Amino acid sequence: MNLVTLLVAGLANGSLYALVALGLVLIYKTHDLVNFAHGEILMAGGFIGFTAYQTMHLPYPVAFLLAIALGGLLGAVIELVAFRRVADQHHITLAMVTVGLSVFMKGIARVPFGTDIYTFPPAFSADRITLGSAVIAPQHLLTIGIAALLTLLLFLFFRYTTLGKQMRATQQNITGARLVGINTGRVFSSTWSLAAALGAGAGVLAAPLSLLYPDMGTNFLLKGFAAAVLGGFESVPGAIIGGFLVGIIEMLFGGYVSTAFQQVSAFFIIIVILFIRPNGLFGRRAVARV
Amino acid sequence: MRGPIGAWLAALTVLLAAGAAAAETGVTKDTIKLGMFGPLTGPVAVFGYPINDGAIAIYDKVNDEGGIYGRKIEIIDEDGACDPAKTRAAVKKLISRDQVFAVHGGNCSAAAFATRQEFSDDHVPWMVMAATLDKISAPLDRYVFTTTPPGSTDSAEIIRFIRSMPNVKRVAVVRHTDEWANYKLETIRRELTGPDLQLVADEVLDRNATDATTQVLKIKEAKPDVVLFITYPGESAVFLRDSRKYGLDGPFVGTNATMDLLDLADRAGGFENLKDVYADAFLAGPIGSPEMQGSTDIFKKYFPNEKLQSLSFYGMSGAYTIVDALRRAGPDLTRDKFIAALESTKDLSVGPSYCKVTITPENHQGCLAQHMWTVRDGKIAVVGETWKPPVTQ
Repeated sequence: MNLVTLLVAGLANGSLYALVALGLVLIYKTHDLVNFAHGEILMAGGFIGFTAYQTMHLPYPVAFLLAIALGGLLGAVIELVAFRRVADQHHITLAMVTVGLSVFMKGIARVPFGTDIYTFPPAFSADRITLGSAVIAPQHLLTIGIAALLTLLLFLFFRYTTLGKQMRATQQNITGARLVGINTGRVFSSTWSLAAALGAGAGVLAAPLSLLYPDMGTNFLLKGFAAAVLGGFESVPGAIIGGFLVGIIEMLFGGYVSTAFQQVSAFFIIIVILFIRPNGLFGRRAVARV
Repeated sequence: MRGPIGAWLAALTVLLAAGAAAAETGVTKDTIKLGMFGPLTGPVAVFGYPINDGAIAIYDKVNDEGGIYGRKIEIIDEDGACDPAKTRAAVKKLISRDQVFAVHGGNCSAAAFATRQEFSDDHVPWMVMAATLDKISAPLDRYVFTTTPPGSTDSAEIIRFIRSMPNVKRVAVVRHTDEWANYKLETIRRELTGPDLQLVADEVLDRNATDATTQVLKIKEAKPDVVLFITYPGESAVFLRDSRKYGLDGPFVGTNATMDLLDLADRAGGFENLKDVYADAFLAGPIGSPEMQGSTDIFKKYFPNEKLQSLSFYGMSGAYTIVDALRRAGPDLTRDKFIAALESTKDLSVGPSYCKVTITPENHQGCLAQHMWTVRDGKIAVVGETWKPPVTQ
């Protein structure tokens, strides 16, 4: 079993999990809410990319950027229509809204696309790359590269832009942010937009690896959630590293131990890690002043 | 007999006959109520409507031709979402509330099996639609019938086929772990212990898996002569796509779940990923072949806006068998007569099916033959029950 082959495949899958986890963490840090509809945002991105690339025959980069842009717009609309009026409600209420949204989005997707399963071809039809005994798929390299680029852009956004800084401030202390004049409504909208754009981008990258159908998001949501928990649910770097780890653990477990437990291996490792570090690898224990 | 007494006796006979017919649950002067169930919602709804609608097309055609002894077949289609509990509830509703005469349904093995006892307890005849788990229809139950080949027939044909392939000794398997796959593997594994065939790799691919890298690499290391994939179409596509990606060459042999090779090619990313792939099939021929023309015309007439696919034909053999038995049961329809008619079905040609249906009181599995298909020159080709070398054009 070639280790490099397994690692590259694990990193490619892990990149997708990391992008999903990033979207989940961004919403969680801002709203204290797990967005159960994030898998459906990924699905929406996949279908937008599919329509642009396969139906409208736009070039792959254009289809990808279109999916990200429309995904971002979708996030803003979701925040405006579904969450703005109930943002102050208990987080269980908000979680139920996301569950309803998930069902709604799957239903909407079935209107134009039915229950059929669609295939999104890879961006490259190039043959596999062979390095010694290692075999690497070009689509895997593309996935890792784009995920890394998106992650880098996200870090730059948070570090150097005014909106990014305002988002960080709001995530740290919403009351304080309001007191210093930050328009938190705009921050909420931007956060949803950013998280959804990442999810939609992940959808376009995921579609050639999986298949396209309205329920495709569930599996990625689970893995992204696992990655976020592993990294510590409030940590952006943790979400990325958690995603990579989940992807690599799955691949190594399947390769060197057994394929029978491959899908659950990452969850098993997460349980072990949470026993040792209950707040995840990069999470901090919440301390409240009383 | 003439005169008023004869007329009265004739009228009495008619009334008694009508009374007897009306007395049977689900049968009126004008209708025969048939229940149907399948996954009409949820992730596997992709199997629900196409299969059920194929059967409905046959019933619609019969109705348009005047029905059976003047009675139209009325279908009540319920959703089980491929979930055992929901499917059982749907069947209870069909039997208790809708009071159907018989049921034609069941596309998901586990969900269909969960309902078996309901039919047995309530003495309602049930023709299984497309579920293939053996224990749905065996051991024999007086009320349960099927015309879709059970899993053991699928496994037997796969073994027969790989035995007929030249230079095949080392066999690798990639499979799911649900009951459907376990049963097929159990039957296959028994044949892979002799000196002629050996199991050299047995890898698990989970449902909804989107990556088969480790399975492909492990099987490649085992250097098999043939790879069996006991997986559903989506996961089969992922496996075949990744096999090409990592250089695992065939031949690959799949179950009848993947007989729609056009759909499989579509999902796997094109025919180039289906090189040296064979799939077991219980239909007479692929879509577009002369054997399927009649059934195709019927489906297109009644469902002109629905996509024609192999699934569209899965439920037709059961519908043809039911219609034939209803006719032979006579105008005074009862469940006992219907069952007796079903149990005397012999060599019945059932539209798109490869086999002819024979049902006896001792065997309710009406179809026990399949054959292999493959892809050649971008088209689906029928290979036969045993391997044959590709014909060079």
